[in-house]
Parts: sequence; C-alpha cells; structure tokens
Amino acid sequence: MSTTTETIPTEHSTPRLQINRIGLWLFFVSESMLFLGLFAIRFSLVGTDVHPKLSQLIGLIITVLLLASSYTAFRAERAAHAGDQAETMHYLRLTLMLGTVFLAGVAYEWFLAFEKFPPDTEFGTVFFTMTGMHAFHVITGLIFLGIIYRQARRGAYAEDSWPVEAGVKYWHFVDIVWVFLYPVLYLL
Amino acid sequence: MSPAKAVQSSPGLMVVIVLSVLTLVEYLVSTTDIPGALLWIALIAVAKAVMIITYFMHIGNIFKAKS
Repeated sequence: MSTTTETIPTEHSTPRLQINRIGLWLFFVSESMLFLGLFAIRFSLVGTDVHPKLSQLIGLIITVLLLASSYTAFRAERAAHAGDQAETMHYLRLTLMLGTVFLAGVAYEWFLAFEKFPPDTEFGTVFFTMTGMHAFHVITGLIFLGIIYRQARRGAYAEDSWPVEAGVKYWHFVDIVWVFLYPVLYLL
Repeated sequence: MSPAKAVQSSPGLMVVIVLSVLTLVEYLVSTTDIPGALLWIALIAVAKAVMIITYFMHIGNIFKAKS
C-alpha cells in the first residue's frame, strides 16, 4: 500500500488576517439583520410614535458616552498595532469604564420605564426588547474587551494584535447599532 | 502629550466631536417642527454610521493582509 502526502500550497492561499477580517464583517452583516428585524417590529407595532415620558436627557447623554467609548477603543487598537502595551491597556480601561457607565444609564432608564410604560404595553414591549437586545451586545462587548485587557496585561499582543482589533471592531459595531437605535426609539 | 502624539490622535478626536455635534443636531431637529424632520434624522444617522465605519472600523482594510 502506498501513501501519498499532499502539500498544501501556501504561496497563493489567502492570509489569515484577511480571512479573519472578512469573517468578522460577515458576522456584523448577519447581526445587522437581527436589529433590522427589531426596527421593523418597532414601526409595525407603534408606528413613528415616541412615548412622551421617555427621558430625552438620559438618551442624549448615554449616546454621547457610547460615541466617546468608540474613540477610546479606536485609540486602544492603534496603540496595540504600534505595540504600545501601556497605552493599549489605558484606552481599554477607559472604554470599559465608559461602556459600564452607558449600561448603568440604560439600567436607570429601565428603572424609570417600568413605571412609565411597563413591558406589557405596546411601546414598553418595543422599548424593552430593543434596548435589552442592545444591552446584551454591550455586555458581551464588555466581556470581550475585559478578556483582551487581561491578556494585554500579560503582554499577549506584542506579536499579534488581531484580537484587540476584533474586540474593538465589535465595540464599534455595537456603537453603530445604537446610532440607529437612538433616533428610532427616542427621536422620531 | 507630545505634539507628534497630539497630531496622531487628532483625526479620531475630530471624528468623535463631529459625531457628538451631529447627535445634538439630531436631537434639536426632532424637537423643532421643521419640515422633513424624519428624513433629516435618518440622513444624520446614516452619516454617523458611515463615519464610524470609515474612520474607526477601517472598512477599506478588509482585504488587506497587514494591520
């Protein structure tokens, strides 16, 4: 019996980083479909109505906080690519902090919303489902960035900064979802 | 911060400032009864998303093999 060994061609194969990036963007596209479905439910259930008791101030503040966290995440990614461990950790810390404050804002909004428009009302259903699904993504983003922060402390990204890039890009995606969710829930 | 570092960070900082201003404009448009407010709000949201995708997420780098 003869055995043959196949040599996998490496010269023309797609580089790993490129595959990772394409995969991540495809994941974002699939996640967007979920949120598009939620937006459709919002318009089908309550049209373009906004509840008058929804706190506009909280909505505005947490939106700006999340946008600011995108900037700190962006800086963390740049520092990781430059191999600056201290700066990577500094900006990851800031991102985690801003993300946590954002979540606290949503939690406070929920606390108020239970009184003003409970989940069994039409607007309540839309509000709690949409903000809940987004908050779930924020929590997973925070966990992801927390793991990256822990690994960065051990100097894990000196050679390969892809995990930082992936975590930060996911965080930006969460931010983009809120960019649409904020006007759809608070402003229309 | 050294001048070189300040210049390095300024594009990202400018982006987040513009994003915050656009958010404020979005809010003001919704509180005033200007005609076509819905369209303006939608356009601002799309502009904000495009800015994040372009400047923060580097969509142009998808097919690049290097960081």
